[in-house]
Amino acid sequence: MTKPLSERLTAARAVVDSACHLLLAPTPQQLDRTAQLLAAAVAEVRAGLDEAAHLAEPPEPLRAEARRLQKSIGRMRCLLEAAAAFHTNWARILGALCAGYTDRGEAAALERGCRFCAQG
Amino acid sequence: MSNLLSALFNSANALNAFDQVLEVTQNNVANASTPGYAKQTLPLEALPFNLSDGVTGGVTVGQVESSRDEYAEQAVRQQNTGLGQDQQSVTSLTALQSLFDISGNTGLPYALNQFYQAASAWGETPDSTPARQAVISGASDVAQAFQDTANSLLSLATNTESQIDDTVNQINQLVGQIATYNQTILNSGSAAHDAGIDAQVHSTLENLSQYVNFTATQQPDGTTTILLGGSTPLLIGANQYSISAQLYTPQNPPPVNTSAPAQVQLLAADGSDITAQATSGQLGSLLNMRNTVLPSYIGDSTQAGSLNEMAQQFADCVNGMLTSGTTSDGPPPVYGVPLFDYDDTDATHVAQTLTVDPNVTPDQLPATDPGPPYVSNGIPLELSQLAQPTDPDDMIDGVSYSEFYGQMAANAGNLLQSAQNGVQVQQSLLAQAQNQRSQISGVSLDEEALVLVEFQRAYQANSQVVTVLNGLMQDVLNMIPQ
Repeated sequence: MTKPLSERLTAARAVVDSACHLLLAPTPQQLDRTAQLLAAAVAEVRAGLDEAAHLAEPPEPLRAEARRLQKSIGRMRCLLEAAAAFHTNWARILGALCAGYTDRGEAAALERGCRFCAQG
Repeated sequence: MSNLLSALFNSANALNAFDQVLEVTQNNVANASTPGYAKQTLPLEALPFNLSDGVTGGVTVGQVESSRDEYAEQAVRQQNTGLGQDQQSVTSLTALQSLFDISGNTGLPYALNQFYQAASAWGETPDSTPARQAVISGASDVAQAFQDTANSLLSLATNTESQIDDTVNQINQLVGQIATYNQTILNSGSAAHDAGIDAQVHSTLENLSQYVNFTATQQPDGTTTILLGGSTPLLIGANQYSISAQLYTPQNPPPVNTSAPAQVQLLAADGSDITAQATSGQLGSLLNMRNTVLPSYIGDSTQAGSLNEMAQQFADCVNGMLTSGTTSDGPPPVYGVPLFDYDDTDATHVAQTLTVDPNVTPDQLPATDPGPPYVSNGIPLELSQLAQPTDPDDMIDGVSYSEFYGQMAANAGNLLQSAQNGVQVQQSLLAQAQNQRSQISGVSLDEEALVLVEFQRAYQANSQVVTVLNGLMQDVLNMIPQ
């Protein structure tokens, strides 16, 4: 169904905002859901771009909505980068704790070998 | 019989161990809302069991373990520092923006408009004394508006200095509190494991983090070391190193404006300059406001400031027009006199000292531009055209004086908007760091190593989508007609 681009952008922003909300507690499961939500936002914007030629809209409100969506994406990016930095640094510390330091003085890479668990 | 006694003895020991575990659990429940408190656990350990040697096993308690993770604590403090900085920036920049009224109904834009209108009316009746008097009144209002804006900005600078002093005192006071806890720990070794003291230290550190960027490390003796900006000691053991703030005029590069407003310098306990290390938190924001943002308007030792530049160029431009005009063709021709006066000994004093010469009378204002070409009302027309100038000499930085003022206001507005956006983002980042702190507490290294593998994969997937989405947004913005 053809929708005005501004509506598409509003819908995409709602999706990005909900992804931001998930990233407040970034577990691997939440991140998987975030990736799905962001993919939905991409699809929404892409559809809007494809249809934009057919529907002329006043530029000012459209630009304002685009800026709002851009702001939400910026917030999303900050949250993602902060969470990634948190875990990357932590992995580095764990690497140093578990395997010490390399010859170049960097923390050794975290060993991610296979392991098994026996119960009984 | 001995086995029965051993069993009773073991049971008593076990009950005692469970009692201690229960006590730790009760302590956790009682302190669930205590700021800075971290959950504690008391592990149970098996005793040796060997019946042939008469060792009958049983259970005993190990050392109390805290679920606190200093890495996660530091992450929370880091985001809290960022939030403190943005919140302070919003407060300071809101005060700055309120000094620039761009509605045109008050302040400098209004005074400029009135002056241009008075000049325009004078151009219609060049010989009218009331029309000339209206131009002088309009010029007085413009000078007064420049003075008011400059004084408001200087007052804001003074107010910011007071806030810096208050913040520095607050930082010293909080560090002093932690120094007291350190002293308690040094006096009694067991205090290092006291959950109450640990909670107070971490609560105070979190409170401190909104004021300034620092790193806190736990020493083997249980004391906390605090370094401002990661390098200047604020606290080592029980020794506190207080910081202070003072006004100073940088000498490198040599000052051009010797009477300019001084800058604020942050000093370590040994007197060394540590201003550059306080980059974040409320203190970082206040120092940036006082040493960078406000000087761009009111000037400092090396720059005049945009308000002073505008005042000087406007006054010189108007004076130049008036002194080139004539009140009488002569012979000899009688030229006009300058209207504006200001302290030209220091470029940062122009706006606050700008006045209209009280000795100038209406008949000294020249209407005639002797040319060529000769224009009988040329000077009033030139003055009124300052509203929408076409001659680059009548502009400042390529725009009219009103537009230049609008740019000054827009700069303040943009900084404020950026800080407001920053507050929203920082609030989310702080909430995220707090959630991560609760996630991380008590997780074993082994379990976490597995989770980190999942994290890495998930981050890569998300980053790729964010990059695509961001690119699409740029396409959208490019597509919208200007």
